[in-house]
Amino acid sequence: MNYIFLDASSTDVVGQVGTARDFFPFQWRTERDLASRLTRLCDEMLDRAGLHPHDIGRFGLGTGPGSLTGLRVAAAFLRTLALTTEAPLTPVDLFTWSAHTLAATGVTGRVRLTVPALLNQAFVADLVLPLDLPFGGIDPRLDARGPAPDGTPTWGIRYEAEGIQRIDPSPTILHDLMQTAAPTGFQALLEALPLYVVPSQAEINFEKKRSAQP
Amino acid sequence: MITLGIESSCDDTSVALVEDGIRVVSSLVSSQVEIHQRFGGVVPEVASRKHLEAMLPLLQQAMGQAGVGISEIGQIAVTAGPGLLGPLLVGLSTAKALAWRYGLPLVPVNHLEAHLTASFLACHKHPRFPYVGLIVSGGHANLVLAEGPRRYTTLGRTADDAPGELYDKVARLLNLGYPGGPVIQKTGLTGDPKRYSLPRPMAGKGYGFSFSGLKTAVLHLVAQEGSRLSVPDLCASLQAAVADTLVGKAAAALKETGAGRLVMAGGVAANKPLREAMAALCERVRVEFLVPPPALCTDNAAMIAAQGYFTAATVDIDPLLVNGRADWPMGAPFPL
Repeated sequence: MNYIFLDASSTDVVGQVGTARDFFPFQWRTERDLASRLTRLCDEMLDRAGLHPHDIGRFGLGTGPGSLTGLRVAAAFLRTLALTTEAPLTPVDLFTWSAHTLAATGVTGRVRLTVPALLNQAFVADLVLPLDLPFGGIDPRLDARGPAPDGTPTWGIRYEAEGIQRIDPSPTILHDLMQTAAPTGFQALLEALPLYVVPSQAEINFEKKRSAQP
Repeated sequence: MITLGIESSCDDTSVALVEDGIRVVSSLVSSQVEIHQRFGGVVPEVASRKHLEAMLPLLQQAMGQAGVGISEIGQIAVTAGPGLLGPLLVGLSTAKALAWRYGLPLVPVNHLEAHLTASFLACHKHPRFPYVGLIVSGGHANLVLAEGPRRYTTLGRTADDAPGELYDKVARLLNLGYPGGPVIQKTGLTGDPKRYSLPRPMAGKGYGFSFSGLKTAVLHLVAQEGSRLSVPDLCASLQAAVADTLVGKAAAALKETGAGRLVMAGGVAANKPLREAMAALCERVRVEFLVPPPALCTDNAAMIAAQGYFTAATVDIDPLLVNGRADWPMGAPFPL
């Protein structure tokens, strides 16, 4: 089934379009203009695959974690398409995608995956590879940046630092994930949301600011 | 023609279907007031999340209630600004998905312009120009001369707080709750509007507004009065001060422009003392007064759909390239 996927978790937006025979990965640098370029990016992907919007039977949403605004722009767009075309929407978070990518390269056992967040923090997930299920069960938290203190091999998703090896989630793995059965129906669609870590930095800041006021 | 309207500029998610710009077929609003109450104001990040959650159920429900399918929709109108950027982008991306997938015309709508159009929608009429428009809400105090679709001359705007913001802050100071407008109106029902002498900011000084001084005056009054303070009298006096200020500016604008009608809109336009004062002014100077019913004063997608219908011909750019704009002045080019 033809699909279109968008991961807008950072300013380097990743897209992919796939058919039964092939897939085409894309990456674009955006600067606070994703909302205005969104349809053009999708057109570019479809043109490359020789497809029309009507040919898409499945949507893939990169759920992050990462830039909340970017994630929401892509989510609002893809969720609407999935709702009105009654097509499945597959939520793919960076941890799951990267964990499967690592497992495909032969990494097994306990690993820590991290994504940089604000204020020298990182979104962190501790996992055991290979994952039991294609999706789900990821419960990230905010933690200090840096490698796991207990020596667990630590991988930075799309970044590297001292003690942290880089892992770039693979287009091939994404293509495989997009072929995997995902939950369908309206409720599943409602649950396809960005991977939030709560409370948000905005909420924390707001509370701090409010409590500091006389 | 049926226009699908989508609104998400602040803390209300709304979807509506409006026929020919004047007949509301379906209009739904999902309010986040209860969610933001604990913060005493709207938290943009929280609002953005809630918009995303609420949008699809509203879209499905609005179309279901109206018995309208995608194929019956003629165009989509969506708020592109002004407003909170995160929330705006949720609505905009939703609208773009539909326009892109189904090849539907997309009309980016200025939220403030739509507020004024709500007055005409309420009486099932096409907008008639020229008129003096006054938009008063939690984020805005704008006085304009409207001369045609998307043709506005800004006469004045607030230099600091908007009246709704003033009401929110005073309500928080007095522990009355949130949002401030309705609770101040309710509390002031039994109050004496002449009990406390509050300033009429910038009275007689052009068309600009400033409400932060009024907030400071209330702060001082509360401290000065201490336990003697009558909260109902203060609420009534505050509303009188705001109404007098707005009426004064509107009267001057009507006189100078010679416009035959005054249109008042925005959340604060639901305030009863203000509506009464403005109606009295219009009767006195013999101009037509249009103000939407309270349900159409607050943010809603029906007004967005109506404004989209009446301004579709002014779209001179590829609307799929439009971006959200937190500060998009009325009548200014579409934001790219």
